[in-house]
Amino acid sequence: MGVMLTTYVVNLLRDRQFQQLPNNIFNILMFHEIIVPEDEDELSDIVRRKVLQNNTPEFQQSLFIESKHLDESDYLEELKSKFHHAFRDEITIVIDDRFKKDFFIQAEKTRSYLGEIIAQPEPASTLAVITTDISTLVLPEWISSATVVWDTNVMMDWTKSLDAFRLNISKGERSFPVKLHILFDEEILTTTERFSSMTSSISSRNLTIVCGVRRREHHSFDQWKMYEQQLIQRLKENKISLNLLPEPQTRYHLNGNQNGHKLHLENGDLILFDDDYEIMARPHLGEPWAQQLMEKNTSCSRCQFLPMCGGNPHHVENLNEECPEFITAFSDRISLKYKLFHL
Amino acid sequence: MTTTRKITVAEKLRWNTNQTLETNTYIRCYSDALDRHMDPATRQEFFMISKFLTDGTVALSKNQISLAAYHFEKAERYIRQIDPTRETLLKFIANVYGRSKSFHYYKLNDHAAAIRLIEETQTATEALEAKEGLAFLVLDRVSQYHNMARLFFSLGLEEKGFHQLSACICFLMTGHSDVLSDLNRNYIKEYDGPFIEMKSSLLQQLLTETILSLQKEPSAELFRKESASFLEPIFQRTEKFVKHSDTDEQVHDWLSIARVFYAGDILSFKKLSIRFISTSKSTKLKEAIKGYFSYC
Repeated sequence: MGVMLTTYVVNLLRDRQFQQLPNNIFNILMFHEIIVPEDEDELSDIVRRKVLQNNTPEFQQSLFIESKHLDESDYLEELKSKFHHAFRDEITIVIDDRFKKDFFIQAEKTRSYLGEIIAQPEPASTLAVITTDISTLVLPEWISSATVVWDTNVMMDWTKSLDAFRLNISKGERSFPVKLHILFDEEILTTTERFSSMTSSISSRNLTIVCGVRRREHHSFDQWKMYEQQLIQRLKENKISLNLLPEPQTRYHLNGNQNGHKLHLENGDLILFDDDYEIMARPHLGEPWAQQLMEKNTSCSRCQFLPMCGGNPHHVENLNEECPEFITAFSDRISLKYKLFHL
Repeated sequence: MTTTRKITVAEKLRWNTNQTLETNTYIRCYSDALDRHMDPATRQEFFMISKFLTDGTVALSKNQISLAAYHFEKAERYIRQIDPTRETLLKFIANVYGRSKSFHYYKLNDHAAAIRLIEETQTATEALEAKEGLAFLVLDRVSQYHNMARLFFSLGLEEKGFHQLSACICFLMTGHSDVLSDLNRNYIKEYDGPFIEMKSSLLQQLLTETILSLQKEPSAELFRKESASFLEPIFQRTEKFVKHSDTDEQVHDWLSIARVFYAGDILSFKKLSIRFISTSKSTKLKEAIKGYFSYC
């Protein structure tokens, strides 16, 4: 997401000289909703779309399956009985390091089994891997996309691991998008050499890297925010350009769900819930919630991040600890992404 | 115990939302025509309405029916506000609206409404083709007939569906259709470079997509029956195939090889296929011929 505009285009927009814009530029700006109809209530439109996208029975939900259940014979049967096949065509199989014995074989078996009850002839399969070691991780060919959560250790030579991982995913005939979430320890912020040895262009065509500081239980929100800022600072110092901006489909509102969460990564990619057998259903935004946001009577309604984060009407103040991490050092994040284009 | 669900032809075939037809050449031709027939303000109004319709189509392809309805309603609200005297704008809108909204009806299982709208759109598109630089939109009508075939399959009218699919391909091969006679009314005076590129690309796309879709069928017997219903009328027209491009030549070669398969000479088919795979530049055609190997 994101467009770069020349001064010429910015000036045309500023002067409302839309008709001077060439067709292709106009279409790009319209696609990104930088230009919208004059009579459109943008906030209402965005919130309404989020509600309709997520809060309808026909929403294609991802089916999240944790690897620890894959060898339980009645688990899949229960899944089948609980969830109507017509509603989803994507399976996300979550592999945790602790349960990774034969996981790819089990995951493939699960996928074929569920494929038979899913509406699409070939369901898209996402593999979500949570691991402390990416250097030996080989992703199977049958998946459509992968999300890898890499819980790094400060002692690890992580640039070497990253190189090994990049090599592994570039092997094989089929290429699929891989998103790598690197979770850093706060200690890494004090070890300069680990950053300076990193190459400047670490994202590549099929690999998107996002990173953040792991929030530990003893971290206060402000403390954690400070570490995030330090991390961004270190990236900048070492001229490491990354896209740390949220994607448009960020579902921040999930944070407020009463079921609680086990692991919630920003950008709405991986959301698991505590209750083992209820992990598949994505929670709903809910009409009253949307209504409150649209009525613009919550603190979120007045916040500049609202279209990106999804909003939470229960916030009593802006930018508290329920807010997603992307709000931290936002302008620095934009600058990191901008530099990414200029590598 | 699990059972394998039978996949119907309707499920196998994809709805043609013109995304593949809309090659760079198509967009360039369309954009040039818009520049010629509309002032900038009108053009931007058209782009905006088209965007909402495209958003609706994208939502439909993700099965987000309510969200799609929201986008369509938004587009319709703006369409209703257009002064009826602005005929050119309305004609262009009718073209994009028809192809998106018919998909909406299809997803809502209102097949009759989808067919009715496609028919209305065909008339509107034909009128649009009379305008300078828009004769190429006859290809748009072909892709709409392709979608109509999918509707026939959904209604259980398989024979009619295959008949329609073959007719689309025969028209692209020969420039004439006995079945879809309205396609013979068009404004193509000569086959220029861009038109040839679009025509050949659409021909290859319709042929390979249909075959690749049918190849999802695990039963060899059923595949043979379905694909033969589709290809037989095409084989009958192969002699009249007017080849304008390298792609056309390859499609022609492909058809000749496929014909050997249906004649039952599997040994020759394999030999010819292997040679075709090693020489053809088209990935899709190669893929479609490779798909036959599992039925040999």
